[in-house]
Amino acid sequence: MKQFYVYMLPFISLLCSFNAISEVRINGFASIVAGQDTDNKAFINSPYTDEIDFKPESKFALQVSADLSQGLSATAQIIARGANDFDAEFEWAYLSYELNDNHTIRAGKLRLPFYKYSDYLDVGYAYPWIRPPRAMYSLTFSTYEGLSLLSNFTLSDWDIASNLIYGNVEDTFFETTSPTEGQLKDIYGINFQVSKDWFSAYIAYVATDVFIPTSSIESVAQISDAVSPGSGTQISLDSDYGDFLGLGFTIDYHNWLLNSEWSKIAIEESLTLDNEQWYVSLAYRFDNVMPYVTYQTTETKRKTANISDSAIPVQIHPAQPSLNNFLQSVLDGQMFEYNAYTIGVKYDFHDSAALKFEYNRYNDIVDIGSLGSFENPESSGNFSVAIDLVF
Amino acid sequence: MMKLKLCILPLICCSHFVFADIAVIVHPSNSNAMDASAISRLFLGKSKKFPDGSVAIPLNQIDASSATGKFNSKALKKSSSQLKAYWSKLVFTGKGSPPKSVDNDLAVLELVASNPNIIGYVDANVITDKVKVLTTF
Repeated sequence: MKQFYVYMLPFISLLCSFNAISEVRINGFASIVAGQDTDNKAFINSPYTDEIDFKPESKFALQVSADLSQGLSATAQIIARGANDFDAEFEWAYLSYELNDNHTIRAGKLRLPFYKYSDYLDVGYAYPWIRPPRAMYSLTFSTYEGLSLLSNFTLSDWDIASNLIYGNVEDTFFETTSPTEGQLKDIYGINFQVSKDWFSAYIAYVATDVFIPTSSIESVAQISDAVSPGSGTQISLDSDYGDFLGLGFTIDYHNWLLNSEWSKIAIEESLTLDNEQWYVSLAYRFDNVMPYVTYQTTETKRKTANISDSAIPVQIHPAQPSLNNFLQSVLDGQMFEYNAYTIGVKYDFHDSAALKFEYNRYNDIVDIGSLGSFENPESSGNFSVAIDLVF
Repeated sequence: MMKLKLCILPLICCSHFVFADIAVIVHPSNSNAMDASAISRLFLGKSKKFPDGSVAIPLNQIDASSATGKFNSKALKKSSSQLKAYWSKLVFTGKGSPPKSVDNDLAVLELVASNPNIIGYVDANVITDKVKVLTTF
C-alpha cells in the first residue's frame, strides 16, 4: 500500500502541473467471465464443466508505467487470474528506451509476439470475442525474458512495424497433461506487420531450442535407447529446434471486421507431431452492438517412425513389437483434430466497459489422445458471459 | 419574395457553424500545414512530429466535453468505445499512451496560445486571435 502512494504522488502532481518531466501512469483492465459447458464431457480444451463457474477466465490487472523522460520508461503489469486463485503475478516487467523516432528497445519480461492479439491477450476489451480462438491461441506460455526491438516506419501510406526478439522461457509446460519444468533457450523471432487504412497483415516467425524433459516422452526415449543405442535423442525434447510460423490479416472496413490467422508449430528430432491451426472471424458493428461468428480448427500431422525395426526386448514390452511399430503407436496416440463454431455478441454499454455473450460448439474429429473426452469425443458446447473493462 | 430572402440569410450564416463546428488549432507561430489524415495520425499516436520536424504535443479534451465526441467521430472517425479499445491495445503493450486531456475549450485555448508545440481542438465558435486554425471539421 505504501508503494502505491509512492507511485500515486507523482501522478497527482502531474494532474496539477502539465509540464511535469517525469510521470507515473496507472492503468488497469479486468474481465469477469462466467461459463458453463452444455454437458459434462470433461472436454479438456474447455476450462469449464456443466456447472456455472466464474473463476477460470476472470482476471484483474494493474499496469504502472513510469516515464523517466528522455525516452526511458519502466512498465510493470500485474495480473491476478481466477485460474491462479487470483494470486497476483507480474505478467510484464520491462524497461523501455526510445533510441530514436523509429526504434525502441525493451528489456525484461515481455510477451512473445506469436499472434495478432498476443500483445493484449488478456485485455478482453480490445477484441470482439470473450477469448481469442482457442484452437489458434493454443500455446500455453506467452511471456519470455529478454530483449525486444520495436521499429516503426511509414512507407507512402503504409505503416510498417516490426518486433525483433531474443530471450528465454522457463515455465511449466504441458500443464493439463503432464506438467514439466522446461526451458526454451535462445528464442529469436520477428513479427512484421503492415497496415493501411482498413487493412493490416502480419507474419511472425519464432525459433528456439526446446528442452522439456517430460516423463512420458523420456520413458519412451529410454526404450528407444535400449533397442537402438543413441536413438533416444531423436525422441526426447533435449534442446531440439522448434519453430513457429504465423500469418494473419484484418480487414476493418466501414462496419465490417474480418479477421483470419493461420499458424504452424513443429519441433524437430522429437516424439512430437507438427500441428497447424487457423480461424476466420467476421463481425459487424451496429453502433454499440457487435455480433460475430468464428470458425476455428486445429490438427496434427501424422509422422512416420523410422528408427529401427528391431524388436523391443520382452522384459520391457511383453508383446515384443518392433521399435518402429511401438513408436508409431505412440505418435498416432497424440493425434488430434477439432474444430469449433462460435457465435457471440459484444455490447459496448459503457465508454470503458463491454458486455459479451458467446456460444461455442467444439467438434472432435480425431481424438485418440488426451485432448478431449474419451467417453464422448464428438462434441461439446459452452456458453459464456463476460464483462470486460479498462480504466 | 423579400421575406423569403430574409429567411434564407440566417440559414446561410448558421450553416458555417453547423457544418464546421470543430476547429483544430495551433500556436500562431506554428506555420505547419496539415490535412485531416496528418492530424488524425498525430492524435492516434502514429506520428509524433509536425511536418517541419518539431515535436507535436496533441491535446485532448475529457470525454464529457462536447468537442471530444465531435472530434473523435469527424476527425478520427472512431466512436468513443473504438478509441478506448484502440488505446488499450497500445497502453497495455507499452507502445503508446493517449494524449493528455484537459477539461474544456478554454483550457485548450490557453495551452495552445502558450506553447508552439501543442495542437488541440475546440468548438469553432470560441476561436480567439491568440490561436491559429489549421482546419475545421
